[in-house]
Order: sequence, then structure tokens, then C-alpha cells
Amino acid sequence: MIFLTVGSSLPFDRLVAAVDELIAPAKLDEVFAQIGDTLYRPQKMRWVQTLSKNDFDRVLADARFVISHAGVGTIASALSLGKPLIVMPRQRAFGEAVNDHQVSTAERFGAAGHILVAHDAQQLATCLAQVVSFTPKPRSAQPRAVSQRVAAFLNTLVDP
Amino acid sequence: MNADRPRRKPVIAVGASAGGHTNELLPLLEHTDLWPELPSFYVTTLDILAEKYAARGGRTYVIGECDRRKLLDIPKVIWRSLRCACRERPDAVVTTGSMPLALFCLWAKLLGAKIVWIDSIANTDGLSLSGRLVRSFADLCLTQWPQVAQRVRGVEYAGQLI
Repeated sequence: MIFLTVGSSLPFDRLVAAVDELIAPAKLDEVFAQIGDTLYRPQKMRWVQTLSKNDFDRVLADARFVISHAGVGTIASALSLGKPLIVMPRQRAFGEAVNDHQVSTAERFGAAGHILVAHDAQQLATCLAQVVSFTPKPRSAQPRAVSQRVAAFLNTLVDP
Repeated sequence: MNADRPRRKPVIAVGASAGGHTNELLPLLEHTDLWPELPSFYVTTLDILAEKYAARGGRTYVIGECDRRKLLDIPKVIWRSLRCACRERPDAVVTTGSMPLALFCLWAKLLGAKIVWIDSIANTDGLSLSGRLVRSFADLCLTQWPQVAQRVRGVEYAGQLI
């Protein structure tokens, strides 16, 4: 199963339509989608509007690979499971987001070899051909270091 | 503003909006063993996240979503976040954003809390809109990109959460 997610709220018609239309030409196996408030109604895949976080995690774990918007939540979740991920960043010009932060997020993570990035349907088709041989570069974050900094601050609130 | 420091156990609130902000908060919560006290309660924006926090055993408040596109939802979020802040009176708030949590931080600050704002890793080149608002009154403001810390005064880089 291939998991397509655009997050749980904002519409992303461009990506959902692009995947739906590529299912036949790219010979994709079963696709399951979380489409949020997207207006486009997929013809060739099963879809839901919203998944709970726990259901989302289950579907993600079962997926062969993932296609999504450039939400950092999805990127982090996919990377933590070592799932190959193709990302299409939302663009402000198409009314898909309030700014272009997803474009810079996608470029940062793409340049580091963590994800494949497609900016339009044509590039998505290219990425779908590449994804079978793509192994995401594992990511090492530093949550403990951040927590340590927060702890140092919180300790100043406690009387010695 | 309340200048007195808490005498005993500080009441620590942690919170994040649904989506990426939550994905960033959860790894931080894996390391609260370093903190002087564990979080007393959680603040999130959607019911679908509540189960995730409930599993951790703390009280959870759902304050709703709002952003630049959903201005009409702001009064609801203001009311819910204000009610939560008044009821709990936290000594500190630790959050990864976004706008609804910025509102919660504002009320908590006015009621005497210290604010720790960790801007989302999605903001690679500067602070988010909500981050820019909170920076003016936050007590500790962290970014997850070194280049942002270099560019924005009063903002520190301490690592990446995801």
C-alpha cells in the first residue's frame, strides 16, 4: 500500500489530483489517502478526510512508501520509520498555504537526502520512478540537547 | 506581572498545535526526566490529539485551531485558552507552537508564567509569525536552525527536535 497524506486540514487539490491521475500510467499499487479539506474527489484510490494520530501511525507503518505535502510532522514520522517519502511542497501562489515555508523545508530535507521532492505533477512522475531504489538517509535529531536547554531554564524557576 | 518565583513544585504546562508541532513536542517529552518537574498538563488544538496525551496520564485541554486563514475561530480559541490558563495558573509553559499556543502563552504570561517557545523546524529562514509575536515576551526562545539564531536577536539554537 502507498500512503498519500496532505495533513488533516488544509486542502491540497493539486497533489491529490496528480496522484490520482498517475495511478494508471505509473502502475501504482493500492493507494490510500488522507485528503483533509481537499475538494477533489479521488477516483482511483480509497480515501478518508482525517485519521486520528494513532490510525495515522498504523497506516504509515504499513505503507511501502509515502507521498505527502512538506509537513514536518509527516516528514519526521516517515523518516523515523525509514519509509521512502516523496514530498510536494504547498505553494502560496496556488493558495495552498499562507506562505512558502514548505518549499524551503522540502529543499532542506531534500538536499540532505532524506526525501524526494517534486514541485509539480511531472516531477512527481519522475520521483515515482525513482522511489523504488531510494533509501532515505537517516536523520539524527537532538531532542535531549534541546530538553537540556529547557531544563536549565526551568531550574532557574525552582528555589535552591 | 507576578515577580515571585514559585516556592515548591512548579506547575509546568506543555503544548503544541496538531500536526508537525505535535511531532516536534513528542520527542522533547521523551526527555522530561531532565526537568525539575514533570509536566502537569497538556494543551493541544484538536480532539484527535487528546488520546495521545491522555495516554501519558496528564490532564489535557483542547483549545481549538486558528490561523491567518481562520480568523473567525479566534474568539473561540481566545476563550478556551484563557479559561485553561486561569484554571491552571502554570508557572511555566513549554511549547512548539503555533498560533493557538501563542495565545495561551500570552494569557499564561499575564498570569505570571515563564514562557519557553521552541519555533517549529518548518521555519528554516526566520521565526514563524506566532514565533515573532511570542518572542517579544518569551523568557526563552529557541529555533531549530543555527542560521535563524544568527539572524534573529534573542533567539537561541540548542538542537533539532526531529
